[in-house]
Amino acid sequence: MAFSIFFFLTWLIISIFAVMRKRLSLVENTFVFLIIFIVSINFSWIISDELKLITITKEKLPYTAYLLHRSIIIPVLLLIQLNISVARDSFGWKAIIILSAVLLLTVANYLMTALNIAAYTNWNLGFDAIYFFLLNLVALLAYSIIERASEKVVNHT
Amino acid sequence: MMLWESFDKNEIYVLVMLIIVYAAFFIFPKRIPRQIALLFLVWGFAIATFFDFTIGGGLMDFYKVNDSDKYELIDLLTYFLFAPFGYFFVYFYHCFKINQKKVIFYILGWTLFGLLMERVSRFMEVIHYENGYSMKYSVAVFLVVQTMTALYYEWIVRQQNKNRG
Repeated sequence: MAFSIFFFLTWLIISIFAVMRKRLSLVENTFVFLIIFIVSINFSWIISDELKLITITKEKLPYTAYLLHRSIIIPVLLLIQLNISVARDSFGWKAIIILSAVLLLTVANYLMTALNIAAYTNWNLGFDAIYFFLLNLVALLAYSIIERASEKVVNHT
Repeated sequence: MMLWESFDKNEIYVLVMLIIVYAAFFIFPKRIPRQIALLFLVWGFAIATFFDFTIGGGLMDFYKVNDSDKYELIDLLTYFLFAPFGYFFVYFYHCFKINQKKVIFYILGWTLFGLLMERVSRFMEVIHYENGYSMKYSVAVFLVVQTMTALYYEWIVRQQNKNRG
């Protein structure tokens, strides 16, 4: 059940990203994806295997659901957030989109606990929300870095 | 995170290799756009991280990097070692003007180079195989990763050419 639900969510998130109007270029989208992917993989490893703040299931299919969440759902959902939030320059718009992404990711983590993929020992959803908020800021920072690198190329030519 | 369990030949190897590959990265003339260079540096790092935390750890745990299963600073430096290889893959792809006829040989060449580097890394005790893993499985990993990298680079170049009109 856990695998089916997370597989569906993965498919849904990828499909939404595939069909949506993208404001970022292919290079920018890939760069931001990879940065979030690296942070997400490292963070999930540190809080589960190093600090033992959460316990991840040892069953193969639910564990695959955890891998899908860590490696695809989190980075692609943040890409969707970024592509929507850069559409308008308003701070309010960006704040609403970022908070919506934080909410959706926190709900996905709640689902992980409800479906026994992860058990929180010294962790809670509040910490998840803070982490996802910071991850949104990392996405914005990554975007500004790759955007600046692109501008420098334009200036040279 | 600890720095390392014991400072011996694997740590020395990683540090020496870091100096060599990053020196090469800065010395070689810049032939590809800055944003693509940056992207493929991150690409190399991401691929190393993904495999280490997916098949090298967790449920599968097919290999151990450096001295222990714990996350050491030297592990992080090992991932940084992979970043310039992502860059050099597309750098030479561009310099040698790799086309449809040459791409298979190019990927096979990098796969052989990857296997050689893996052999050296095992000798220097950077990589330790576990749970029945052997080098033959790495052939599949190298072929998939490098084919994906070549296809992705081609896609980016075509997209950029299309945007330029």
